[in-house]
Amino acid sequence: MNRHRLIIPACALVALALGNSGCGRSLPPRAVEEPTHQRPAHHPGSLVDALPAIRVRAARLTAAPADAATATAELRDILRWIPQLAADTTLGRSAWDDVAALAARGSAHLAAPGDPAALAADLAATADSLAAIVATLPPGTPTEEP
Amino acid sequence: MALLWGIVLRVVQALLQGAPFILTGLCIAAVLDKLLGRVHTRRLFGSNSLSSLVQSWLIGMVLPGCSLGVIPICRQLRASGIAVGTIFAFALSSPLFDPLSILYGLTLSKPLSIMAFAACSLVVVMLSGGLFDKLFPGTELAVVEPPAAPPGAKRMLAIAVAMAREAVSGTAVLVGIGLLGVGLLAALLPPGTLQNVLGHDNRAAPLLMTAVALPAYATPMTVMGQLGSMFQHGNSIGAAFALLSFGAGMNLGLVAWMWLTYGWRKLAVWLVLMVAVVLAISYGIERPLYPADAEDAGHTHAFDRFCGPYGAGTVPAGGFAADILHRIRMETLPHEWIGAGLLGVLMLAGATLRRCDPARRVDAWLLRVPEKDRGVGRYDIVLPAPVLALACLGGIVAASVVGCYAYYPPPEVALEELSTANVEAVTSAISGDAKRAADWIPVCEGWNRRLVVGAYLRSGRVSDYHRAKSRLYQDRLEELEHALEDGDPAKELSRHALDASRAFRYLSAAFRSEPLD
Repeated sequence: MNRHRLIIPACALVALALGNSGCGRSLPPRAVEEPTHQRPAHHPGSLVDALPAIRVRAARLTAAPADAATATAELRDILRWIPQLAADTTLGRSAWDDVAALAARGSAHLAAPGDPAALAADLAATADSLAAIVATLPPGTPTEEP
Repeated sequence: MALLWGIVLRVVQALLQGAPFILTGLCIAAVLDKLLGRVHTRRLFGSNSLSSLVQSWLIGMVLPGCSLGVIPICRQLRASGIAVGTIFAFALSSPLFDPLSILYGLTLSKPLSIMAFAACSLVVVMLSGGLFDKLFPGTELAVVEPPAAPPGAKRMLAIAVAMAREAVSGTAVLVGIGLLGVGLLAALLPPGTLQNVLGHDNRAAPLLMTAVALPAYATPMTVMGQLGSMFQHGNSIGAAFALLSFGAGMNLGLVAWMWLTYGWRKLAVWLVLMVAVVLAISYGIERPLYPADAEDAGHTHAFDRFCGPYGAGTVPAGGFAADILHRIRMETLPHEWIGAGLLGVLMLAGATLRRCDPARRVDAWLLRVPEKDRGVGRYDIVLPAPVLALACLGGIVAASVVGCYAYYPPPEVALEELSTANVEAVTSAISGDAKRAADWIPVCEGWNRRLVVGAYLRSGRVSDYHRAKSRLYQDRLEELEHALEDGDPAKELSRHALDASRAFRYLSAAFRSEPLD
């Protein structure tokens, strides 16, 4: 008897919340349209591929404002992904720490207001520093998604 | 049939996970009853004051427990005449954290969030408990201290008898009601229902989580794992806090105990206060605590356990019973089997006592002081029962800390286990045995986390490099899991499996050859 009296309010609570959020009937459009864990189009896929991705977008920072804004947003993502991309290589801890520090420095520069041309040059230099580390990787390191 | 078997699976899973905590709760309740005594219990926890709320919260934080395990303790606190707000404060805080789960939380990418959650739980306890005691003053009871067992073996035996009797008393019924809540959710929520509705951008996420987590039951460790997954997948932080407060802190059994003991009115007021405070905090912390670098995956598997395991009309290969047995064998950890076994023995002893000794002659015999006192040896010291009680409680805390070292073994041991599990998962995926691969992936995920926590426990720090390797492996496992769920072609499955295998090699090399700090 007691159990039944308890179950009713619990059911009501669950039903209320599910009703409010629409759970079980219609999922948010994103969840229906996008497969889970789908990577954005500008995800480089590997550390090696991240270098040209940075250079291309750094060059676009001095372009038209709309294009520069897109490039900035994508650069922010790419720099954030770099430590994880570097983890998917044979880089030792010391080299990985250097990569992570370069990415963090690039992100900080990107976040600070400044001259777009100087920022572009700074990010190109970051890409060069990363390239020097990537050059130490053995041949056969994956460069792109199959 | 799928619904019924789904309920059975979820209830058995919850019972096995909760068994060690229920056993601990019975032990603590018996120690409070037979050693500490009601007066000292009341002194330890305090009563009807703001300081008592802090005391209860602190004791709850230190003692290992879950929301089912606190039921016998709450009954004992009530028998000690402690005010309602103080009991509720303990009941809410004890199941939130234990040493195992705190360690797990500290190694998550955002340990600060876990600290903030702990602080917020104190705010919940202080606000709701304080307001409740203000609204309902005078809920303390005048109690009479029952006679204590004489020092020696009888005193220890009295604890065992009290545990056995409690295991088949009202506590068992309330635990059963708590487990029914898990079954209720499994019946109401089809598989995967909660995967896409707890995103950071869903304003209703904390509210939804509150409604789901209230009847749900989860151990502190399960909840901590779910919180970690929520942080990683960029889910709602407010929902995560609601999950911690209600998923870990409450269950239907505890609600039933409050109702039976204090009546509907007090229960309703307490629940309204709790829900209001938790929701206010949940919505308040959503933005400030949301990780800036969170990758919004748009979904989570963390709450699949709150939903039914079988879709309508589906029958697992080999039948439901075989599938349930298989899942239980794969998932249940050694300490859970031991806890369940000991709980079973205790219930058997309790049932025997109840049937063969309804007049409680055994209890009376235990209280009887021997007529011929043999005296004590020259070096024997008769310790007062409260001192023994505090030593027991300290021992339980110490045992839970020591248990951390067993649960989170050294990295080389964890890597060995992980290597075996990884081979099973990868080879199963490559050979097209999706079911077997799906069985082993959670095992890999579990050992991956235990590897990091075990390293942290022993060295005090785990570098970002090692965390990145662990995260990479976790991501690759999740990608493989999704590929299996989506029924991807064999070529794709092999690619994901080889990616996971490569990530494991990097992880293993990092932990074997690079310094952790």
